[in-house]
Amino acid sequence: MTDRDMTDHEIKSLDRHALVMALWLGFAFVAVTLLKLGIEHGNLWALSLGFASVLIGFIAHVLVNIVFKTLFTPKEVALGLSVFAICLLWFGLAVFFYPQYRMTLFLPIALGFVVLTSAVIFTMITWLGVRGAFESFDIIRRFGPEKKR
Amino acid sequence: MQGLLTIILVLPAAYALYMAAQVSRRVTNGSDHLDAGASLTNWTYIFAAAGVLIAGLGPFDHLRLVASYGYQANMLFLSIVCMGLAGALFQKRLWLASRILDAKSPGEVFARYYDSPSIRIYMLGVAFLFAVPLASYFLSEAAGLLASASAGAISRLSVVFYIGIFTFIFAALGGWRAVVYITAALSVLMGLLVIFLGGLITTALGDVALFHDGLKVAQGVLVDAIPGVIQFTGGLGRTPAEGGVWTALAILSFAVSAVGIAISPNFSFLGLTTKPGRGFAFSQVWIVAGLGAGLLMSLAPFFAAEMDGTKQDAFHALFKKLTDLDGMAGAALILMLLAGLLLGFAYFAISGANIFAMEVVNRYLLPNLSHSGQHLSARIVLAVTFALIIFISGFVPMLGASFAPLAAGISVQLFMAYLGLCWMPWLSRSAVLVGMCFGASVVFFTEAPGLILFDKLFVPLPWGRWPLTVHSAAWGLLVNIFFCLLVAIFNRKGVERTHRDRLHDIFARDHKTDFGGRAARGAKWSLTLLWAFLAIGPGAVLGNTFFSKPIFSDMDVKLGIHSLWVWEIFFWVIGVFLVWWLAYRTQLSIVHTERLRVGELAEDPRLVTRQHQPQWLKQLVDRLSTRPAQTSRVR
Repeated sequence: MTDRDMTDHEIKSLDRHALVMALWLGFAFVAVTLLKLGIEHGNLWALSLGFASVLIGFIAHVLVNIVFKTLFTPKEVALGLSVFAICLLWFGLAVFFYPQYRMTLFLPIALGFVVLTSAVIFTMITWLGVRGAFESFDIIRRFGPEKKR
Repeated sequence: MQGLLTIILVLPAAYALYMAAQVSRRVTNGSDHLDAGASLTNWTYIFAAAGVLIAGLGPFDHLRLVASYGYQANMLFLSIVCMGLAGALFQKRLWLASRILDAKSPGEVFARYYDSPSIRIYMLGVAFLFAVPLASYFLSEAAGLLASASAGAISRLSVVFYIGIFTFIFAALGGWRAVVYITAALSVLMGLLVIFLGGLITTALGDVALFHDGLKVAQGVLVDAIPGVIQFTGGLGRTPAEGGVWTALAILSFAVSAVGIAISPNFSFLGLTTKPGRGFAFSQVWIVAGLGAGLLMSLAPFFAAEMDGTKQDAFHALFKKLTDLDGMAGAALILMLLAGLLLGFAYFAISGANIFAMEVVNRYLLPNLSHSGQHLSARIVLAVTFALIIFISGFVPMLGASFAPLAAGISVQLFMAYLGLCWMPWLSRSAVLVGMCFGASVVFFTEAPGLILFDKLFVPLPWGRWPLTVHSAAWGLLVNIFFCLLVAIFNRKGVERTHRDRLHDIFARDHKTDFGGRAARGAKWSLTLLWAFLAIGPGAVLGNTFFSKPIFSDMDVKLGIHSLWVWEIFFWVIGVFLVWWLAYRTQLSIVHTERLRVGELAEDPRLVTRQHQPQWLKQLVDRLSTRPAQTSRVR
């Protein structure tokens, strides 16, 4: 077996991946702690700061993409969307099963989700343009028949 | 709480293992395993360097010190700015020298430049002190912290074993690149948690203890003042210092020892394995001197006020308050402290093991190893290092705690060698070596191991640890400088000098610094010295009352915070400006590679240490590696 050196591309990709993971490790821990604090104690400041941590983490991720001149990888998009969907589902079920929290926490948490969604959409539009952002979700076309050349 | 603690430990552990696996899938080259192919990117250096320097200083111990000694101990955080200054002074030129001489480790750079295996051995000794006693101390403290946080449910010994074995696995799997990634990630985590917990303490724990009760220091300690420029005491363990041990000279000499971490072979190894760019400058100015020092000095008193500095387990009170608020908040405190300790433990242990593998095994013992052989030898050295660390921190933690303070003190004795390599070609090999030997001896006999040894074997020495409240590192450096200059007077010139000059000629020709004119050069150095005098030197005593009882007025000013704290923050801002001026404007830390010719002096017969493997060592290895059956057949 011959030894193989890492190519520049491999190093760059690994570097980016490690940086993104390192940033999310910190921001996610802080965000989860703040959100838990906010939800359990009804502390709106903690709740807002928890969402702010997620937002800062997202901005940091975008900055990493800018520095490394890359886009979000398919795995990152899939993981992000899954986590977001699980959180939304949890939120919906919590509102349904624990109505006593509805009044105090519904609005701030919903607002947090809206802000996060807006940030993602804003990033996609500024980065890919309106058409590009739309086409990213245009699954029908992606799975449709290929254009004739 | 145990469940929560386990979960928060599993998260960084999972990250470490994942990154190690990712790297190991891509790296199969043995030398890359040891030094990441010297191609680490700037961001890894930026975060990892800051984390390593701060962890080396020990935020865990420093918070305890602030809780016990008040604002006089908080002044010690200014030594982080000094680490930034030392980095600006040496890191770039060391990196350039390593490329010009085609040397891969700090010991090799110095050995080639001074043509001296003794300096290499000295550096190996320093690397060992960081890799084993200091790393054992960090692991032991981390285990104690976890055992205490879990109220004894997790035993100290089991933590030592689990963490030790886990760290070995990920280091053996991922090599140097994975270690630096994880160091950087832990640094980010530690920084974010310091901010988060600082915010939580000042907003969510009710009344801010710092403003209501102040710091609960031990009896007789001056909470808000430096207790004089110097105290003529015999040292720690002999006669107690009045009002606290952190006099102005204690702070200054502590900063000297902190510089020892910044110029240690273990830390320099990180710089040598990094690709060039603006990473050195950014890290030194904004992350180390700026964010690191600033955050710690401004938030540490808030943490310390919630702790009980008079008790052994000083963190317990803060931990309990945070846990009462929310279990996750308490867990965040433990994670922050653990991140600092484990970062220091893992980084120093693994960097030391890698340096040893490169300098001893790959160079002297088995110089013709294949890539897979290098891989294996690196793992064996790692295993031996970790076995030693686990043994010391598990069964004889006092040994680690006694020898750990020697690491920075003996490392700072390399200061003159660094000056010679980077700036002063007239410092000869013998001058540097004589200075280092005398300096290291003085450090040894003003620290616990030397004192205990002398006391037991002969008679008790008249001084204790850190006599006259001056840190052992500074005593050593003082003696070192004296002897180094004395010897240098007599052998400034000669054949050796001509060969050393070749490197400095290349520095002057291709890698100029921009000090400006004579006036600008004078201003830069005099401002640095003035800053050191007022911020961490004898002038710092002015800060005791400078802002609360101004010297130009009879009135007392009610600031709401202590004058010394304001003084410290004021000089921190100036310190950051100074590091910026030197690192960026003077180009001390900006690396330009356009004119760099890698290996330009690699073929110089004087600058390359001749035979790699001494004959006696070759014979010994041959004898050990020859099978007995073969030997008898030959007979």
